[in-house]
Amino acid sequence: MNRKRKLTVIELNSDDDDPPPKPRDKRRAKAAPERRGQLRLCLSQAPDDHQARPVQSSQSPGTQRQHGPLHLQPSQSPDQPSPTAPRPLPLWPLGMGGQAPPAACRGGELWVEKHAPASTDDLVVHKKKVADVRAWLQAQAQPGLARGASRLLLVSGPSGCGKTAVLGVLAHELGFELCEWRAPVPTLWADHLYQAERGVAYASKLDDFDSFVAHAKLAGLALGPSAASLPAGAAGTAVVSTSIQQGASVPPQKLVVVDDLPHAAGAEARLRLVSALGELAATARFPVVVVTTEAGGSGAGSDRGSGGVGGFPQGGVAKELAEAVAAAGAVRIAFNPLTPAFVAKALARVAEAEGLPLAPEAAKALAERCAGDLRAAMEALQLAATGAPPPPPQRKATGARGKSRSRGKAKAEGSAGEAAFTALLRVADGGRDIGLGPFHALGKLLYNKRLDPEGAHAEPAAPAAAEVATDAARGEDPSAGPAAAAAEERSVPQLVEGLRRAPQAFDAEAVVLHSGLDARTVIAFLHENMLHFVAESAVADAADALAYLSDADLVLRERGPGSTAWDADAFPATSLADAAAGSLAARGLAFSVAHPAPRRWLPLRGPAGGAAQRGAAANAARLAHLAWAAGPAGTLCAGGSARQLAAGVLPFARVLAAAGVAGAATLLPHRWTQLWDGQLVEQEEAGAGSDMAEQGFVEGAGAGGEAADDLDFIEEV
Amino acid sequence: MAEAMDIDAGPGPSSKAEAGGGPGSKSFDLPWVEKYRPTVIRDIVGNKEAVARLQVVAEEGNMPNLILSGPPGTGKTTSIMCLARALLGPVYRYAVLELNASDDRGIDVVRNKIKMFAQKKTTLPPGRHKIVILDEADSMTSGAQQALRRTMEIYSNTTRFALACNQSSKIIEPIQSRCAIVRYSKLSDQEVLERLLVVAREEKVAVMEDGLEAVVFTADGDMRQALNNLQATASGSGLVDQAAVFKVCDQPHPLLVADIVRHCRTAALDEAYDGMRKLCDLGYSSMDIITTLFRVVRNFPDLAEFLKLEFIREVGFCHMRINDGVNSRLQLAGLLARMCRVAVKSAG
Repeated sequence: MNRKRKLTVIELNSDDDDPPPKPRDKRRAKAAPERRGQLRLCLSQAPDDHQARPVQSSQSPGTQRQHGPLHLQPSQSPDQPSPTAPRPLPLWPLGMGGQAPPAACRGGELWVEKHAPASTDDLVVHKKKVADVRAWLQAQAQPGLARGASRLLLVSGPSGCGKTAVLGVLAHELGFELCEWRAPVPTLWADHLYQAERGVAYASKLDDFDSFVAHAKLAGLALGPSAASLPAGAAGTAVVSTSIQQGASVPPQKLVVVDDLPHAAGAEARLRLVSALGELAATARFPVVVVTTEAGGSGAGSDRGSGGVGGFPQGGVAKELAEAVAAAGAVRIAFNPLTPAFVAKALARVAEAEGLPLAPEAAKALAERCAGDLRAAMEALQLAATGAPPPPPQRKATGARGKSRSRGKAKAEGSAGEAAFTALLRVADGGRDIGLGPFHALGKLLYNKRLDPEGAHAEPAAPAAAEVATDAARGEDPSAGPAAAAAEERSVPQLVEGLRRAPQAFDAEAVVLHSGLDARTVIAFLHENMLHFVAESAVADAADALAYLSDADLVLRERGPGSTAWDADAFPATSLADAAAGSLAARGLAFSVAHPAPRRWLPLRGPAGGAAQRGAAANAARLAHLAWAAGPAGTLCAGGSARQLAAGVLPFARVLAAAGVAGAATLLPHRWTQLWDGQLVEQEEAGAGSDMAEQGFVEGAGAGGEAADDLDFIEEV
Repeated sequence: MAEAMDIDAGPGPSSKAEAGGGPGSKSFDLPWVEKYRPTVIRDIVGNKEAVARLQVVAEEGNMPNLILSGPPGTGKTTSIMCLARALLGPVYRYAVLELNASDDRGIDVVRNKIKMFAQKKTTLPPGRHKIVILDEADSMTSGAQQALRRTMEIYSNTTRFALACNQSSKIIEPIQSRCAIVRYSKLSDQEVLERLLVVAREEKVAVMEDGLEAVVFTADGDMRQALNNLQATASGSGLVDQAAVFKVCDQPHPLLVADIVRHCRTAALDEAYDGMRKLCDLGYSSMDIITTLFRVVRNFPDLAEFLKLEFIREVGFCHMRINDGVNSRLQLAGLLARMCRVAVKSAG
């Protein structure tokens, strides 16, 4: 319960025990209007009851406010920042390229930075989104911003879709000064371990972020109009603002960007981050924009556990985070991946500025391969331009920048453009991994192109080729050689008619390898999409193909506890089971679909099969958090399975909560992930009545009844 | 690593004892992989496109952030090293930070060491940047990669990153988005062979043609493996011929295995089992045999599509059983019988 106090004074005792994270209460947002008045009141009161009142802080919004400024009290005179005053917020000017580079390194720049959009005309983001952000910024610039309104904006979207660029351009246009919150460079953990007694303390980025949130609440940065319009509050705030920023009321209002949220690995850290953000949303006194990156929506990406949103599992914290922020009244703007047309437009602009002849179709091809990621497309373009063969000497008029390059990028149109185009296509392969590469490969497998039937005559001619190999064998092993040759002569039986196929137009193993996906994903993918590629009436084909896929799945099944850990990290091709399964799936599908559906454009879908497992994993994580938060009692079962937690700990916590034990109610997970119509949805806990179904979901079908029984038992007791 | 790189790989046959002598006389030798690691980009074998592009980057400077991805032994690390050396030359040791999987690369190291390095002031010619080399980057935790994300952007004016990894899909999307991806593929047998010939000539190893072919086969497009196998064979038996290679590399001879498959195709179970028994009597474990068998079947040149598919399925199932610990000879015999049955059934 004393969480808020910890947060506000985090500067001084950030290294003490972490209190159990507590979901933010919504009253704080409503309490905001009185804040400033309360602040002054608190400062004039004697603050020395800090230690004496441990648990009262949540009782009234007014008393909460006391603890924030508490540690500023010694430095009451505004002109002298005291030694105990918080260190300045580590905010940095956020240019497009960050810090100004040393002059010596000016020679080469990344095109991404060099050609960052300078005006709204250069932006290739959807107009509506730009307008949304602009509206929010304009509202923030108003002096009379409603007191209760949140000053936090959450911008989310996949990487390279222009989140930061939009902010930069609009902030410049509207006269904001962009600052970025950056965590200070920490001490190494090893140093901390060895030199802890000498005062080398380790502060995690979460600690730093917490302290930032605490400062944000203090209105130390209450800048521009709001500070100037309320001179009454200046006495209280000036203390902080002198240490943070000279001349707080200087016109350019600051817009603080948090682009680098701390990484939240465990459930505990995640909750801490979420609550910190909620707090920031509720209490920030200056405009803050939090930028989060979402993983692309492709089926391949969403199946990976590790690469989710900022290290969050898909749909886990990203959602929690958005909810916490939304609950505090903050605005959320989600960006979509850029459309190829937009990307192509931006590429054309860059190419023109660089004097690089970029054929429209080349730009389009590159744009389509980058999966809506403009930054990746620009990186690929720059590398392609660097690697292009030396162009013909003829130059167009180039800008000053173009001249600095030793090789003229400007070329005559026509054949030179063609050369650039082919170079691009070669490079386009180097685009983002997640987007089209795998889809391309899988589409290849599904479309299953075959060569002309006359190529099939090669098969009967096989013995000739085999003869060569046999010769080699004979040379090596004289005894076996003749026998083998004789056997060869005897018969290479002709296959029955139905089993013959025209040669494939591609190498199945190579395609699987090239896709960069593991066999499990490949199988799930093929399974999800294959039926659309089989002719309507060819049920036998589909059955055969599915039989092969299920065989592949079987080959790939979870092995014993010893072996999985061992080759989990291995390169796919080196693990035989993986290779065999991938090969079996790809070849089996290709072989058995003898009657493909008529060629047409078919959308590929990501596999939905893993949704249930993902949902169960999400619920299990919540349960695990429960065990964590339960403290010493919970640690007894912290290592336990989800089943133990659901059957043992959860009912107990509910009983405690029902009995009114303080804190128990807040520990209970409030929402569960449910599978509804093939989609994962999160639902608020409705009440005790639906618990059994939820537990059943966590446990899987088999254990559900058991868990429910246990629950009944405990509640009766 | 910088120290290791400074040992010039200029092959000095004069300073070396005659290859092919007793194994004891050269116990202090460098691994050939290190000794013959190329030091300039144009010496890198294979992947012409990628290497040519890096060559231009080396000449022009302004290296973008790079991800080099591809299977092991294809020259990713070598390429980065050569590129860094070409770009930075004499200041290599001050302006390059190399961290590989054996170094601590947790979140706090990324936040501390790499950041400090990026902030360090160095005097470099225009168009040159400090380089952070992260080898085996796919083994970094996603948290550490996240921590890297912003650093990469903030200091891109002074510091560029080069990441090498086996699977670029294990690099988180925000980092992929900030890098140009260069893909490396397996080397062709021809490319591996050419390099082996050069090394064998420099080392004055007595090689037979079939021996080199065997080395190439065992390497499967992996140059590191090829050189290691060559060196092992050369120091183990002096003469590099086929028998010695497979003996040293301790793999069932693929040609013997290919014979077995060929017998299975004609449903000659007796002969096939003879071959299998011979392999087992040579002391190979079931796992060795099944691994080679899978590779042979997969690459078997003229096997009808259906047969190849069915064989792969049977081999996959058999591998599964062996993996579960049922590695008796009976399983292998059963596998052969099933393969023969497939051949019989499919015969018209």
